Amino acid sequence: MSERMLSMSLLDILSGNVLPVLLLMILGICYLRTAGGKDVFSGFTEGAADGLHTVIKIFPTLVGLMTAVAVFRASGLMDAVSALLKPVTDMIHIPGEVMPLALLRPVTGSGSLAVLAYLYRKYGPDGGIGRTASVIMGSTETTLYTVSVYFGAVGVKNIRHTLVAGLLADLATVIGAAFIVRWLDMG
Amino acid sequence: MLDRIWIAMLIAGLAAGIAGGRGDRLAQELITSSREAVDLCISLAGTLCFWTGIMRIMERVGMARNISRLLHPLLRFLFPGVPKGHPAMGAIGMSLSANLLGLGNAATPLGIHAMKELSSLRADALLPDNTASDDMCMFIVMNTSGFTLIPTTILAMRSAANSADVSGILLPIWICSLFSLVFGVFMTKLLSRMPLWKLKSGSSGPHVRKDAVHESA
Repeated sequence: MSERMLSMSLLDILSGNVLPVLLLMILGICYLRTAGGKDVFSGFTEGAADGLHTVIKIFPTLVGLMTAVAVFRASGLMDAVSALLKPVTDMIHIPGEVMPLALLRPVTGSGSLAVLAYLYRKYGPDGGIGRTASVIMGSTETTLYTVSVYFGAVGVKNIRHTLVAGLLADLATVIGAAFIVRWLDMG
Repeated sequence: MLDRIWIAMLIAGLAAGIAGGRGDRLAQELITSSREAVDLCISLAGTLCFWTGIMRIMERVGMARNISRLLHPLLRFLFPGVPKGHPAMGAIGMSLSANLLGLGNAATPLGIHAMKELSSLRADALLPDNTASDDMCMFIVMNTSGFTLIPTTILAMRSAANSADVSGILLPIWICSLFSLVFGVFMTKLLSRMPLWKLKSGSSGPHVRKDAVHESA
């Protein structure tokens, strides 16, 4: 019992301090590298301006996709997709609610962002569904986009097993995400 | 692809909604969802800007190069077709490190550079022009698994949704993406040996070329 409590509090300390510790390490290295932080703040503001540019660039995409997701959901089709896949998702222990996200994630980054926003609003970001969705979103890339950009750049047509392996890894991520969230909840 | 998904979702949604007698709800959603996109972008912006700022500093002080050096022994094992000291290895390392640090803007050009280096090795291995080498497949699968130290977008999205524990998600994300990376690497190695995908000229790499030339001579 005491051992279990110890491991729980260790986990809490670890996850509570992860971001500040990481930032301290990054900034510490920057301080040493730049002779006391020279030009660091101007670099920061440049990068932050870049971030704002990204937000402005994704805004039209998000308007379009969030509307499409909202219509798809209000029509009842989103629930139908989840219900249709329920035998499969039950079998591999995934909450059916995250399936639309899992299906869109390898195809479109901004589309899956729109679904994620919807899942957060409906189920909250801190429940089992919200956290599983977070892990799925954070642990994968837009596989189809990556494959087409990189192979396209060197003119490769015969991509062999790349897409199959990438999509299998995505499937493993979805199953793994649901498992890890459940496992951490048990302490 | 996105074109098709977008229009299919809208047409199917509108048709099914109208047929199911949910026209009023559709009208409501059409109006509120575009406003929600504005709210989301505004609440995302702060967190996102802060972290892209930090990433820029990391880029400036050359942190990707350090990580790349740490990864080197592992990469030698994963990319057996790249000869020792070949620039392709440096390019692969830099690109994967940029991804690991979440330096999105830097990662894509670096990745394309790595692909070009790998492509030049492919010519040495007498592979047809349009066919991917084992190393190219491995590089891309590692890229698609998306292992990132600080998943900026997720942090921003969670704080926008008023999460009580924004960064509590980091640990499960690290565990899960490490698992999927290892799984992806394993599957890539395994599938490259399947009859359907196996390269006819044997494994890639400059050593093969010597044998092949020898045989034909």
